[in-house]
Amino acid sequence: MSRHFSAEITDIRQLSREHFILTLHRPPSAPEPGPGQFFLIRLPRCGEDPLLRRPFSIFDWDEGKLRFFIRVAGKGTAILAGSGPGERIDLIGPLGRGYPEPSDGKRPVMVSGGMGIASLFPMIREQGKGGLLLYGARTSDELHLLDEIGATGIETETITDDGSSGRKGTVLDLLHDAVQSGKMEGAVVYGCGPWGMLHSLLGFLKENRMEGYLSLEERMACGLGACMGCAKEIGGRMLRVCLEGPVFSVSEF
Amino acid sequence: MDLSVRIGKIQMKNPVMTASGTFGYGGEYSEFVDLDRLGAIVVKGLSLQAREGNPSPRIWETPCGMINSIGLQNVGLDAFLKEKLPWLRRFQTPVIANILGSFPEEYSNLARRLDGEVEGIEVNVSCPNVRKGGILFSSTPESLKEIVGRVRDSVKQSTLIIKLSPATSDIGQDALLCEKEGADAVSMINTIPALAIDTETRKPRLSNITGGLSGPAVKPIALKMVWDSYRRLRIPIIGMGGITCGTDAIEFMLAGATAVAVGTANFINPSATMDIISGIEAYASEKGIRKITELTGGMQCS
Ligand SMILES: Cc1cc2nc3c(=O)[nH]c(=O)nc-3n(C[C@H](O)[C@H](O)[C@H](O)COP(=O)(O)OP(=O)(O)OC[C@H]3O[C@@H](n4cnc5c(N)ncnc54)[C@H](O)[C@@H]3O)c2cc1C
Ligand SMILES: Cc1cc2nc3c(=O)[nH]c(=O)nc-3n(C[C@H](O)[C@H](O)[C@H](O)COP(=O)(O)O)c2cc1C
Ligand code: FES
Repeated sequence: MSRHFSAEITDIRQLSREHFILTLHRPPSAPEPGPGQFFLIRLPRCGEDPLLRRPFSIFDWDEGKLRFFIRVAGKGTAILAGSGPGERIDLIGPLGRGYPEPSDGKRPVMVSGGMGIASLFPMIREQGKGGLLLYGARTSDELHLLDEIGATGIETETITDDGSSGRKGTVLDLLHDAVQSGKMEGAVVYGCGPWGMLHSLLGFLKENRMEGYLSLEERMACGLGACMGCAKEIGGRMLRVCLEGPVFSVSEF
Repeated sequence: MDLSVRIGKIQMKNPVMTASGTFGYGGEYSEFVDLDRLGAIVVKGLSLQAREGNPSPRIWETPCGMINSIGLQNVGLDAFLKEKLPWLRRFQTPVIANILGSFPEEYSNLARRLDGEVEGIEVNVSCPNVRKGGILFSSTPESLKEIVGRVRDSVKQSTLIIKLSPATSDIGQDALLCEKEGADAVSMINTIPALAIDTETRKPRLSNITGGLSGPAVKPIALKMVWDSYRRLRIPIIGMGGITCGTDAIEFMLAGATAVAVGTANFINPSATMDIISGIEAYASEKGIRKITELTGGMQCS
């Protein structure tokens, strides 16, 4: 088993102009990831520019494959989107501390903004039926993967910033409603999305003294806790998103 | 084929060491690197007390390089001696502690307490002198001389290495000053002061505004600095700046380095140091080189 391995691209499925699913053949030597963990991917065909690896959450896996859900955000992700089946890419992972399982009897509630679904999907898959997913995006076009989510049997509520599908608003609105309707009794919250959303979610969870886990992003170099490049101030200390995170408990803030 | 080199009193099995701040305290990379195979391990810069460093964001990618402003976050001397060093002692490889300070006394205290505990002490002089309004210790010959003199007085057993900043008008002059003050070796280069700006928001890319550039982008600059220094020095040079493969390391040796350090490349390829050692070996056997030290300063100008 080695956390540094190379894997062949078996498929790149375009979901929209900006979004795609990257599927890799998982070699037998690649260790099993857990929900909320991530991999550092070395961009193919670029030598020394772009130089750094890119971090991506593990979206889905089984014995034979690893899948990542990726949005084109700049140079590196555009290079990945333009690669094709048969190419090999170099990975380090699984890395970081992922989402802990809900303790006995607690109901897992996943709160996802935008690309947050990439990191939360393994929780949705594992916790499926008993859980609740609050899923928000900018527009209905960006509410990706509803089929795969539906297949897990999870109760799902969606919302968009522009009201192009269902309600208009943010996941925080959905959360307030869930509280009103008693759905948050004995809940443990797992959140991933843009920092603005996570910040509001953090405030909500603190105020209501609820157990919760948030997945953060920061620029990374080593991914191994060595360079201190990804440290963020959390609870007055500089913690490494790649090692102490990317998932942090609300109680740490 | 003999790959061994000597830096002061440190006998290294090959010329490849890690660059401070890019390899943690060693353990972070032990899963990808055979620590016993390294020439030496240089750990993250240590201060007397633990430091939290700068706010995020701390890194920014540039063409073939990166800018960092970590702000020297580290566990502090006590935690290093109690928790990190004993673990590193399980390996045969010499350990070099990199030190930093806000005051001249911090350097001498660190040096005194580390002396004899580690094979080498590497002094990072590219640090703001708090008593002089934050101007870097390396930025005037007087303050550089003061630091080197003080650590020299404090270090009796370990090998003393001064790590030089490229932000100077004449690095060869700085290196010569270190030699005159009794340093056993110099290492170069530290990162190059740098800036990047987001044109949308007009804000700097790093919370600290400026940072230090490293990676392949700096290699030609670093090589020239090693060459400029080599011609004037008797003590050995540890060369670094953008080394990613065996031939990069050979270039540094040809320019005058006795040993080399690998920094940013560890982030790209976690086993870069191993590949570089193999690359040097392959070069030496292909060229029929019996002693690797033959290469030092071996650039043929005519
Ligand atoms: C733990 C973690 C998990 C992630 N999971 C996913 C995922 O599953 N799917 C997905 O689409 N994206 C994910 N991201 C964000 C993704 O890493 C960035 O979108 C990507 O690095 C952008 O690279 P680029 O070259 O296209 O953009 P550029 O803007 O050209 O990148 C420049 C530099 O900034 C860094 N950077 C830019 N945006 C981010 C960001 N948001 N977070 C961290 N570094 C960034 C890049 O890595 C690169 O070093 C994750 C980030 C982290 C930290
Ligand atoms: C993230 C990071 C942290 C660093 N921290 C230190 C440090 O604590 N002390 C030091 O002397 N140099 C530090 N350096 C400088 C490196 O040791 C090295 O001199 C420089 O990066 C050039 O080599 P490279 O291009 O191979 O990285 C750091 C460099 C990087 C990229
Ligand atoms: S990316 Fe290097 S410590 Fe996290």
